[in-house]
Amino acid sequence: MLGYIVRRLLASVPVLLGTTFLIFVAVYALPGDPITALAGEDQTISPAVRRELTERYGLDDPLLVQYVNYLTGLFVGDFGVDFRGVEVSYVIARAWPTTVLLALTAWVLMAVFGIGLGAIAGLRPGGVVDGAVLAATTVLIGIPFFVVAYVGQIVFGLEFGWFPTSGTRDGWPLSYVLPAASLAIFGVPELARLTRASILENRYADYVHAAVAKGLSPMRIAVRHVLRTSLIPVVSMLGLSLGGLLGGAVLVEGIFNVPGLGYAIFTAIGQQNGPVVVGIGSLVVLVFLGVNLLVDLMYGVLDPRVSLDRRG
Amino acid sequence: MLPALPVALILVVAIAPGPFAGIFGNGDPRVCDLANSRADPRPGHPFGFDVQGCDLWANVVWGTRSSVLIGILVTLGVLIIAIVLGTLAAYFRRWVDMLVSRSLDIVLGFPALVGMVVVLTTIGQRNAFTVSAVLILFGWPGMTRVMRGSALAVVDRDYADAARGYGASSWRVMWRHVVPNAIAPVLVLASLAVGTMITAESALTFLGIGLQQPAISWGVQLNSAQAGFRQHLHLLLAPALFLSVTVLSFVVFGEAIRRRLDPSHQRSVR
Amino acid sequence: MPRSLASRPRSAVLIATVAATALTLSSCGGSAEDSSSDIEPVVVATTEGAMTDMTPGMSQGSNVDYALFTPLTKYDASSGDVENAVAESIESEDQVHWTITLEEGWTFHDGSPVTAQSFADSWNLAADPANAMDNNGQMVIFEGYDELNPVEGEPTATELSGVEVVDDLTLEVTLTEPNQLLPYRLSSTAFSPITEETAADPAEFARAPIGNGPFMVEEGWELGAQDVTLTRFEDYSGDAAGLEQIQLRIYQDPSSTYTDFQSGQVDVALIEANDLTAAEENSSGEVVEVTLPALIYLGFPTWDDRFADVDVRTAIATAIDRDAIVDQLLEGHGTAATGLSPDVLAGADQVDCPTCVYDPEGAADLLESAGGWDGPLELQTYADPVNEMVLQAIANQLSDNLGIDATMSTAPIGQVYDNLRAEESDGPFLLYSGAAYPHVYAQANALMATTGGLNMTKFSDPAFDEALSGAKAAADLEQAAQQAADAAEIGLAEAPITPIFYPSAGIVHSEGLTNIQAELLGGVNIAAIERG
Repeated sequence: MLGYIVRRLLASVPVLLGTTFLIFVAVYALPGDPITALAGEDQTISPAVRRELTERYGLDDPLLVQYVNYLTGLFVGDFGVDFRGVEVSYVIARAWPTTVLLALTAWVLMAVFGIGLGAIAGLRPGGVVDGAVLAATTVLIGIPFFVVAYVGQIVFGLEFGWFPTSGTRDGWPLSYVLPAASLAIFGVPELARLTRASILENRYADYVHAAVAKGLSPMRIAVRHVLRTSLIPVVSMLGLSLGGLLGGAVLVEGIFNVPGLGYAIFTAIGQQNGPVVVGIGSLVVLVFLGVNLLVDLMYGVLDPRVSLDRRG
Repeated sequence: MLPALPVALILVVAIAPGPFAGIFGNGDPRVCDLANSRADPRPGHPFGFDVQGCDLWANVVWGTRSSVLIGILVTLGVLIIAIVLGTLAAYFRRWVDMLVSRSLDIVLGFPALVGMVVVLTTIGQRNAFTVSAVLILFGWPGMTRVMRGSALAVVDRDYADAARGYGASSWRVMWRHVVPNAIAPVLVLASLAVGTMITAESALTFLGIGLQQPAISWGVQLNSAQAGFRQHLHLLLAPALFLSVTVLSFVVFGEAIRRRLDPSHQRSVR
Repeated sequence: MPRSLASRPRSAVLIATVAATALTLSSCGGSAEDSSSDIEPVVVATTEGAMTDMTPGMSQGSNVDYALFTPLTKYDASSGDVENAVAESIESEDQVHWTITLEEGWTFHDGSPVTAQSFADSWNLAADPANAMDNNGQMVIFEGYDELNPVEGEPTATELSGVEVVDDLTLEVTLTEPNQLLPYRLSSTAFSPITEETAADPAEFARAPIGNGPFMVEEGWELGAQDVTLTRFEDYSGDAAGLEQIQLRIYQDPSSTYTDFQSGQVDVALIEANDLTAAEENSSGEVVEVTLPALIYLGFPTWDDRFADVDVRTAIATAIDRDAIVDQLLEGHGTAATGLSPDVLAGADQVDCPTCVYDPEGAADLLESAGGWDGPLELQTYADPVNEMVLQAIANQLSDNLGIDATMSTAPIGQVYDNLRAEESDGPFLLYSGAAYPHVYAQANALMATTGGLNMTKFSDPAFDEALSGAKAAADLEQAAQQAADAAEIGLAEAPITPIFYPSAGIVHSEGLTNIQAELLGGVNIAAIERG
């Protein structure tokens, strides 16, 4: 197991390099002049100021030099300084906790409702719950989430006044409920349906028949065998969704005025503020690789048939 | 097959929107008069008018085309990539799996939405095909990963070994045993993906980086409706309704497909 | 990381003392309402962009800038006039050499006096390219700017030679060319004074500014802060602020401010046209609609042969129904353009715009006689909901009235401007232009002068340039306004741009607040707010 982890960690290095380089290239391929964006599109910039900024941010170095410089800084934990003279690590440090809290809240909501509803529906296919879940999840994926977010804001924030409509001033959980729910509502249908499908598939698998033949109680079979095995693709999906939640956070953070990473990176793209985009991007990649590793480790725990040592 | 009917109807509308748009007598989505801006429904104009004073019914009907086109294109693209790469990775393991998994990690590691914003901004061209291509570019890893996971479980099962045991070729084992037995979860995902991708297109448009006018799509309509939807709810409801009904139809249809293809399901019926 | 309070220079301690004194004084002399501590401070919404760096050289002219700093002159949004603030007099014989006398008794929030040197420091700081400040370009009016900012090579000076401190209250200023409008320019917060400490280490005070405005901050804030408290500066030499405390609520995305206003979390907010209709239909507060000193215009790429003929440009311009766009599309929130800027700006009401009329038949005839139109026409703007909506309507009108196959496309704002600067755009473009200072000259110069900073059409007309220069060198302000207006008409008749409308914004405020006025850029005048 330890060897596997080490090997996976080593394997992450090229992924990390590849991804950060891709982000780096993409950001520098963005049309538009960062210096123009920096000063404001409608400002005239004197050539002297332009020279100063170009030198300050090494903008006339070749791309590869800029990338290597950046990586070198990254290895000693230096995310660099953005085009506004603010340290990127500071931008990240202040936005990070908010986004993590938001994404985790959404993630938990998603897991609880997704797996819960999916399991109920899957264990009793064709039942009332199954029908209701199918109908509800179908309707949910049909509604654009920003409509859900706006409506939630208006109904629960404004009309009923249960939750604050924006910001994080009221702290967790109050301020996070609406944005997290809008974020989670996305993943619930997919997760529920996946859980359901996976359970349905495993219910009729041979080992279940065998367990039934051995005379194990239906409850025991449901929990120990069917659920456990069925969770494999579900866990995989859950792991993957964390990345998606971080991405979805961009929108939700904007609508609910939540000062998180998503908002920071989106603003930075608009301002062609490369250092922030690359910094946050790299961080998200790191987190993602970590989650990935965890997901694969959990594969092994959940499904003894999947042997880690045979792979990668 | 009953669930196929709504999908068939939607496809017909997508292929030939004209007659449907004209049902109420004002079928041209490009005939606009600012005097009618945001006007409520009235005879001949069941959904009222949009911000530009164009007939909303005609626009929503015409919107079916690009929304459905993108949804299907993207899902097909993602599905094909997922089945091929997922199966190959699970079957051959070692460097193939390594390659697939790592590139999957790289793309997945890229925050998708941010990536799409960057790529679409860089391309500059924003039509149904570039938007589809970008959605595929960032959409394939999820399904591929599930396909790989589910194929991995199948390959480990006895009957795949058995098939290999009596001398079936790799191709045959993959195509006849691995794919059919592992495909159910991806097909379920794909059945949902058409709707998700249609929604994703509207999300990109909402951000101002998806389709743009003069393209007629539900995304564009929702985008222009969100500015004043508190006062003029019909602007939002009409495209949202069509969007929801379409997604629902595709999901129900996908569910029917799943029942037919799922081997374990068939076994239980037998 | 910004340093903590403990590591700040000694002046911070001083502020604290001054503030404490001020508080004691006001609780003795203030009204009963003011001094009762259980009154919640009035919450005013602002944006993160306005709160990033308060150094005058980086200022954006937001209402927070005006609350914290007071420049030499001040713009009165209700009359459109510019009045002396810190300045007692601003005088010149030749419009090139100016003597600026400061009023006695102005102090910074830390108690130190506002002197001529405070202004010189601020302008030199902004003009030095090594500081790369946003408002560097505004200092171009002073002689010596070119030595600091050479087109090539190293700077040959460290200070503006045209700014000379005579004594504590007197500045001698030399401009690069005659400019009767100097008092207007100086009303921008970019020209506010700074303390000695700020001049030595501006970064230290970026978010802990020591200004000379009606409000002060007792402690700095960090990037990403959500609330900042402003306290009335009791030693303010101008008109004292109406409220003792203001709480600023910082929004990353201003679009959610209206929702927060509705739910009572914010007392005063600037909302965009989209929310105005909702605000007017809602009774949860009151709305003050403000016409911004800005212009949304359609510009023509004059380098493109298809737009070389003024008749073609005029035909397109007069095929646009501005009234329908404002009344129907914008639901009345805006003003159909009849000139370069709303009438409140000096000289603006004297401008007559020949291409701002709607004459579909005449336009079609004119286009026909100019040789007609071949092929498609792609209009462009940047991603912005209002711009997109308006441009789509213009495209529809051009299709209907001229039979042109007109479509629109959008790009990120930076890209739009970069393309235009590189002459890589090939269609008319819809852009926003805000008046840099409250005079019609500012718009005319920026948009149509050969050297204009926002002249994206690459329009160049010697007759227009000459008329405009004449305005700057006029003998008095009245004449300057008239001449600038005349020049604007010369330019508009050539139709490099055609004005479409003046945008509106709205200030919503909760009941019980009075004297809600707008600053130049539309934000609420924070110091003016009173409890009524």
